[in-house]
Amino acid sequence: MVDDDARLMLAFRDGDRRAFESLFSRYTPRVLTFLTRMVRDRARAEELTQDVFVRVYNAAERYEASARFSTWIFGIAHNLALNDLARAHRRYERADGMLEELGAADPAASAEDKLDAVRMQTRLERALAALPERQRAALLLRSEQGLSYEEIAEALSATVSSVKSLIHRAREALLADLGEEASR
Amino acid sequence: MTCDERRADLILYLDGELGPAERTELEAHLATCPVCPGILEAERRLSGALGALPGLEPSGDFEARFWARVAREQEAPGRGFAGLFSRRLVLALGGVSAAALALVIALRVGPRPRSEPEPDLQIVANSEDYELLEDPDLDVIAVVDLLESWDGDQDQPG
Repeated sequence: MVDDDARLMLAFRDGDRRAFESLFSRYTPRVLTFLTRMVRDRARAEELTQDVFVRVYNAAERYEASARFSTWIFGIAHNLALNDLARAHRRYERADGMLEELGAADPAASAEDKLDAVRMQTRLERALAALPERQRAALLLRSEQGLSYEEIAEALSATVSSVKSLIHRAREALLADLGEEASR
Repeated sequence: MTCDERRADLILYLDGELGPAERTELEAHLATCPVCPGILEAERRLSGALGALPGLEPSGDFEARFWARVAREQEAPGRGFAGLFSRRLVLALGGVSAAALALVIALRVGPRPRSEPEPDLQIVANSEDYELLEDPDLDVIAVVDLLESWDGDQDQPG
């Protein structure tokens, strides 16, 4: 069965540019958020997000809806992130400022709640950033992007049982890292 | 199964990835176990914290930069969605040119009549051949290689 987003991509393949624009506005924040947490560099994540959409654009002619669109686009994003991380292990020194940006609190909350939320989010971002890349990708695709285990397996070119294991180990590491704070 | 071994099932339970029979069995265990409900609660809080992480919006000029990049790539000869056809055409013409060139060189350096003096051991036999090989149009082989690598770079959907 073809999902709505795949249907938009098929419409774009057949010449409907607005269909691509819909996909672009729907997926840009999601892909950017995923890539920023993967590569830990906001500017680089924006460049990679552009790369993802250029690839989607150029692949239109040969596109076939053999998988969910989200699975396909996050598969492209994941591959680009891994390639980028493999090329440059230079993220860590620049990460702290970005972690604060990622952990920006809800502006409507009280000052105390805001501070707690920022602390918790910053710690969580740090713990996420310390995970091995594939664990981080699997966990983000599940908890942030809402992909099923089967879809994650397809996006990461892995089996469902290895996705279960990646997510389990990632969560175990996060809970160990966050300790008491997560269970309060 | 120990409570520690059930931990993976607790995550699958929260993620809605357990089958009905496994879910019923786990819920029965949770009703009597003194340990697992606490673990489940910690996992639930972690899911909540992960779900509450803020998303990001692209910078203001992101879309304009994207379309400018697409336009640039399409203007470049043989690149982009619209350039695919012309790229294939150039590739085909390049292949024909390369084959013709190989034939010309083969004929020129092939066996000569015995009556002619034997040239020195060299691939290119005379000055005309040098001129031919120095012709900038012969870069077609490099162009073909480049175009093939572009085609190889494209992502396969699905």
